Amino acid sequence: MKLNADISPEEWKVFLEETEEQIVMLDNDIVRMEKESDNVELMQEIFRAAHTIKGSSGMVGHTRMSELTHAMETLLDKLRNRQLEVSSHIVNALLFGLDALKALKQEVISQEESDLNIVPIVARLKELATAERGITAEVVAGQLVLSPSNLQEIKEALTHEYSIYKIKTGVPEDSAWAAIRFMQVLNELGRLGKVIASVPTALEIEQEKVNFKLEVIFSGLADVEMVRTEIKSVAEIQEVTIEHLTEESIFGKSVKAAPGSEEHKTDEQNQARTGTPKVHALANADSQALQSVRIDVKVLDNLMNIVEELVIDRSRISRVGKVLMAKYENDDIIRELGQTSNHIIKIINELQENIMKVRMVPISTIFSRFPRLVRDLAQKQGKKLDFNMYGSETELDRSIIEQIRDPLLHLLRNSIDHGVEAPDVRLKAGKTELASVRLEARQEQGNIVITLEDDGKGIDTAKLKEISLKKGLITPENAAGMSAADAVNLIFIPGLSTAEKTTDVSGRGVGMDIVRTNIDNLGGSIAIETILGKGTKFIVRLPLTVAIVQGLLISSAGDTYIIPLASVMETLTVARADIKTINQREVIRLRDSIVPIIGLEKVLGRSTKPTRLSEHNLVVVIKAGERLAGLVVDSLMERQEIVVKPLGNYLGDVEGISGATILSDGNVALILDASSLAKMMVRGGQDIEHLMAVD
Amino acid sequence: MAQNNNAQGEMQLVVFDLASEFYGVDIGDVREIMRMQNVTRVPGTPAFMEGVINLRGKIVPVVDLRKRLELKVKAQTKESRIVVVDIGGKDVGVIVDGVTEVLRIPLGSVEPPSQMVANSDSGYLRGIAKLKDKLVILLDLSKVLATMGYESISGLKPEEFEIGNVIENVKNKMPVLAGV
Repeated sequence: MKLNADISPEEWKVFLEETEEQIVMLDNDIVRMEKESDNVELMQEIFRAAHTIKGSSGMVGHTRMSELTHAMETLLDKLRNRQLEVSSHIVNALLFGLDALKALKQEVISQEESDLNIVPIVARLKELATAERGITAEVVAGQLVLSPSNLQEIKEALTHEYSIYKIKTGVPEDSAWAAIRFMQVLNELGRLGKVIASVPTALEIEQEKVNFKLEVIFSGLADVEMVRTEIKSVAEIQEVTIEHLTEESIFGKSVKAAPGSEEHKTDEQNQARTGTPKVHALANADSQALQSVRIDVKVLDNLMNIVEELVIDRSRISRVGKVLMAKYENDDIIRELGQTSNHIIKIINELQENIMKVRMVPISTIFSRFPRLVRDLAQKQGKKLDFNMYGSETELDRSIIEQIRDPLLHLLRNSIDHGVEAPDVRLKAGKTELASVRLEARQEQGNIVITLEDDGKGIDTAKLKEISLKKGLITPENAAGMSAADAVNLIFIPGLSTAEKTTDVSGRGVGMDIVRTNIDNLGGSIAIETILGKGTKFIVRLPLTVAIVQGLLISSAGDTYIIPLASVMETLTVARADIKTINQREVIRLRDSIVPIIGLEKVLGRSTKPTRLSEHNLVVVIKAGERLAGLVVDSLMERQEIVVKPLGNYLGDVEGISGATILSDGNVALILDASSLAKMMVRGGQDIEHLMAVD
Repeated sequence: MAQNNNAQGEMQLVVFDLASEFYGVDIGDVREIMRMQNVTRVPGTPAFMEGVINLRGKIVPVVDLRKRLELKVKAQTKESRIVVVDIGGKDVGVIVDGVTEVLRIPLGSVEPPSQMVANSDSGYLRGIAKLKDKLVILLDLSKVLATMGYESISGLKPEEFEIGNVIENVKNKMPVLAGV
């Protein structure tokens, strides 16, 4: 036999496994088919199995197998479309074909051609398949029969207050374009609402199995006249009759509900008559099989880039549009341009939303690795854990998912290492031996909230203060005025964390500063709630997506920058007199906090001169973690939705800058990174650090 | 680096002009030649980093090649161009005084750098093409830009790089070339 020599042994293996699977399925299903000819799903399944074998055998070059399955497929297609009724003849022929298929598969295993002649089998299958020829003439005479899923669809449409219409129309009997006209009608109707069923079906129309009449069940908000106008807009369409179907007329009597008991008769007489064609949810079932597609992440990123480009152009178009409209208020063409551009903007918005959706990945992709890890860790340390995860179906942008894995892992590890006590310690403390660790993800408005909660020993904030004092990270005055809730946050101070490992005082905090930085970088936040002896809860808040953020445009020393709105606490104008100095550093009072201020150009190293303060200074107060800092800028411009783009590997990490974006004039503006800016401000001025740590 | 050589032993170069010298880079490495446009400065980067530009929606870093090669700094003119090259899969723009032409030169006309300088640590010099009317310094831009570590250039000392001196050297040692 002639088999494709390019196929590797592995590929043959895959082919055989797949074929075997499908044959087993067919073996079962074809027999069932005789009794369950109304089972739409079963018919679909059988059809798909044959279709799959046809495709894969064609690919490996097994011509006889693909020829045979092609004949089976054609017949099965007619059966699932109700162009043919199931009969014992048909079932016999299909089973016969299946046996031949098994023999052909054996050929592949033995690599030896059998003397099996498939020609008569194929001929018989074809003969049975063409028995439907007479059908189309009967289609019109025949009534549109609705399947259960159609009826379901109608019910749903009615609950949405949609109208249901039964539409009959046709083209002249000498028309050469019937199929095309009908397709146009369905398309027009598709724009107005939904085509629930039609005779001939969309598939039949596509295959040009039409005569000159078309019958459609349609749901939509449009009124009769609108529907009629739309249909009549198609060339060659003759008279259109539209019947408004009421709920009773559908579910009461006038439309026959399938499967009717007398509908399916498998005896031969009925068969010869080729029963009433039924319209059913073929298109639906078909599309369900094709509902998910695997896409290369690169393609997705590319799409995202293209959409980002559009988003940038969108701002540009809208700006130009506004200018033009203002200038030529009464010009019709300009007005039309305005409308068109509004429409395009709307579409781009939708496109953007949809692409964002496509990029969403359930958090289970990282959660799923945790149980094993937790189990191993707990075992190693002799701890007994009841680990539970909730909300793993919560979706997040792919890029966030990638970057949140390590911080979460770190928190989880900390919980098991330091948070949860050993069983004997727990018993002594009057707790159950089994410690509970609970990880939960959920969506809250525009954020994803991930909480990690344990019933371990909690964080000793008093000791945390003590250590920070000893290490000179805070002053005694700071410590005295610090509440327990504030003191917990000391865990995030870089200097503290590294020492934790050796002294193990509070038992927490290894690398917590890194966890916080990572989360900050994603535009998120982390908070801790702890009760000594009872347990600890970490609350991580993340944005749904990082690719597009709201930003505030500002200018400093002639350059435009963007500060993500998420980091902006507030903007204010500060009079010269309200600026005080502490240790030669400018600060302002903002309610109960003392906020250091500095010229942005100075932080960024664009100027070494001291910040020039004028009578009135524009200050943007940014928030980095718990810290507040004021940036003196030259001017505030608009807020804008901006697309975050990386600066690229060539430049590497640039301090104070998290990325760039393209403004509506095509120029590049840098996006400021609040947390690293705050760090840059602190550098060389420990006093400020203390001030900020307090507030 | 892509060698755009054909059967006759030729290579195709994009020739640009920088401080009155002609430099050539393999056409296979050149992505695009652009007119000067607004370059956004990036704080905290070396002086030769001119900034970043928008290349059809992508953020592309731009290096001032005069500064990078430690040649005399000159104001940009109408002739100034940004040559965007592919450096190990990343796009980087270099500012040059002007792009002269695209040339096809026989490989035979190229003097390899090893014959010109004894201690040739200058990997970025691929050689010098001796043509009828001019000399073209063949530059391996990927090396010029990579010498400063294109993974991340922050923290690099400018004095570590001295191609300007190297070229001077080459000319001094080869009176034939210097005389042209």
